[in-house]
Amino acid sequence: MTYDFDAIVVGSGISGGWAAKELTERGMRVLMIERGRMIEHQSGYENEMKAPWEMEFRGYGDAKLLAEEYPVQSKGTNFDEYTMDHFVNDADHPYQTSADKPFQWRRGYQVGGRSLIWGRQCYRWSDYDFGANARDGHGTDWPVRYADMKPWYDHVESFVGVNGSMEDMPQLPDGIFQPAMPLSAGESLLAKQIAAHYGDRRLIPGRSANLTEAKEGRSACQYRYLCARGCSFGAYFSTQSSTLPAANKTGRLTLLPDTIVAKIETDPRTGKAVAAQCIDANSKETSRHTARMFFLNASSFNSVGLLLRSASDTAPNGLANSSGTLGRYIMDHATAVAGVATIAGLDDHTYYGNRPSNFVIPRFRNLEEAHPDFVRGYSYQGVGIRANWPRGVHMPGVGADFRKTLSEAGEWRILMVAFAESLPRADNRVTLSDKLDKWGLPQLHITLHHGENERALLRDAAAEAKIMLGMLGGKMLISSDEPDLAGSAVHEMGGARMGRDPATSVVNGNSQTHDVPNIFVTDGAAMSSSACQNPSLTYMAFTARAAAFAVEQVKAGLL
Amino acid sequence: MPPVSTPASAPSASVPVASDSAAFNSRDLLVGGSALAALISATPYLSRPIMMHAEDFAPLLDSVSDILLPGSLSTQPGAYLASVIPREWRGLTLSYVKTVSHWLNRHAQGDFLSISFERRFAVLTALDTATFDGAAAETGESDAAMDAETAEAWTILKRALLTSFYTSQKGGSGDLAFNLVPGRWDADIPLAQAPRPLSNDWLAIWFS
Repeated sequence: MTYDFDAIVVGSGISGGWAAKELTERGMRVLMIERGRMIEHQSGYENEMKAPWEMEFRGYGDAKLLAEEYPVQSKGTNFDEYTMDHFVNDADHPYQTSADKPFQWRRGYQVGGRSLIWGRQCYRWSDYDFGANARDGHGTDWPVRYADMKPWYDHVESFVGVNGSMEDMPQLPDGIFQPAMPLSAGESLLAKQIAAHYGDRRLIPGRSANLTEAKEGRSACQYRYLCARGCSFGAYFSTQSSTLPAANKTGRLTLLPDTIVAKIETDPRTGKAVAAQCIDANSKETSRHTARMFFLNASSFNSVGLLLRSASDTAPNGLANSSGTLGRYIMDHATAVAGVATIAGLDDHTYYGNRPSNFVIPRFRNLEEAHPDFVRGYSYQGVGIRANWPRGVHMPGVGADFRKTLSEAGEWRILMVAFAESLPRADNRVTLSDKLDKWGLPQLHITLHHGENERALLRDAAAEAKIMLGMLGGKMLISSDEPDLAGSAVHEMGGARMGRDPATSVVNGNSQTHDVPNIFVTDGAAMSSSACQNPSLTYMAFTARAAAFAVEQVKAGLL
Repeated sequence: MPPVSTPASAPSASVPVASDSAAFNSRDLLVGGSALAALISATPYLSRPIMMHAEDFAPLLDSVSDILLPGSLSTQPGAYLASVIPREWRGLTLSYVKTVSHWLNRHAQGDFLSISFERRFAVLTALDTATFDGAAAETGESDAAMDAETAEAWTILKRALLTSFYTSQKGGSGDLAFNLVPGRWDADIPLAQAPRPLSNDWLAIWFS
């Protein structure tokens, strides 16, 4: 059989870009299909260099429009008037979810996907994470361990450009880092207090995909913190700045934007996938593209949705779903603002510039000693800033003295957000709704509720945050242990979980579906547990690893 | 909340005066429009048949902004807010503006914009003080609580006025510095040697 392409990659975000890069660099002719519009690097970043006074709503957006058309997207980080065209219009892209605890599904449908608007924090997972399911029995055991993944973390970090510090912490393995972005004075003070009082925890610089040294045609970070607008300096990792140019350089990539993959078609004789059935997002015309193999990188739940939509007579419950687990065991980190406090005695210190990163306090629970109240762990991410003009809303004042006060640096504040591990549960799941979108495709129904373990983790995180922040001598402003709505972390994972047993999992240790060997799922859908670190770096590592495996299979005549 | 004392003579030296002559002239010219707003705000019967629009309150918003942040009048806060109130910018609605207007007129014992600048300063200061005293009262620290509706309205309006000014070129790159490309991250510098704070210190804006 002849194919239009060696591989079709569905989705052009973080993992899709990696699939395109790795497959093309290994000799494959690749079609990358993206449901959203093209955004060119640099020239496509329309609001990148605009000041508030150049925006109709001064950067805050049209509140009525946001409430009507962006009710989900507008409630999360990185969304504002400058960046809103990098997020979906919720009214155009509806989904179903629980009425009482709705899932906040934050999406970016464009070339580059959420790589344009991601938080850029990059953390390796350790064997505390890959061994977690086996250790406490929640979820299915990962078929890989850190030793399997380490070379691929090395591989992707070397290309991405991750800044960070070497810390020798087994729960957060060190990597190949560019120089770290230093802690601010307030953060350093908290780090010293924690080091002086605790043997089990440490505050360290965040590890982010922002260059601190120029690299391969990309400039070093200019400390603007305009990342989500798009960065013409190419200083943070995105599809546009990094993987797409690399894939294009091979001459073997075809990019097809504005195209929705409606279904993966299989050959009933061989059981293999043969074609992607597509719909033009604008004209609604259909098309069909054949390939030897398929990489699903449409984002966790959209990849699951595509497999569910690809049901056939031989796979009536969805493609690659002989286990019945497709769509189940979805997760998202449970987050809460564990603490915000002021700092006393540091008013003669400040900072300059916009660091596009934060600090992190890596997990310290359930490493060597089991906690009596919960399994797994949490980590904190936070920032130390000096309050700016909006503090005037919350303080009394009128007149010239008030205006003068607001022109000066305000008090130091430290914010700590807890990220608690989400346990994989079968009843947290994605299914197909009977409601259709405007392309006639079933909408997704997403049910994800945090459980008692996540709540116990966040209670402990808030209590510990209050103690740690209390050492700064300031005032505690906020502390919460109530989880934000699921989805708020934008770390949705699972639904096509990885495992050894085809009877209980969707993909194997090579990210290959058990049922259909020429379909690979290498985005967050394949995650079997959630750890408490940001997952994107791990998606990248799995994608690069799977691409190498797939090409070996092709060369061996097995695909 | 007892009626606010509004002395006819100029209060203490700390009270600001109009920041420029143009601002003073603008205020004088705008009194007529505000008188209508004050009348309607204070008269429930009349408020029903006459529809008030956001632009009708532009003179009041100009005046309040210039008292809150002297010199802000040149950024045309009234016109800007009137243009975005229908879109509920920063949560500000006409209802909130009317609530504040009503309180100001009541405590001005007439049309707020018709009284002297010094008296307007005193009335607005009283509103602001009462709002924060009210917040304190909720925590048991003060007995001087004001009605929650007015306190909320003033807080929302104050936020909108501050945002209007500090996201204007004058406020955002005048009082504070504005530099979209800082080019460096100085993690710990002595305050005395530091440049002015950035109005585009995005994290600080979000977490303040």
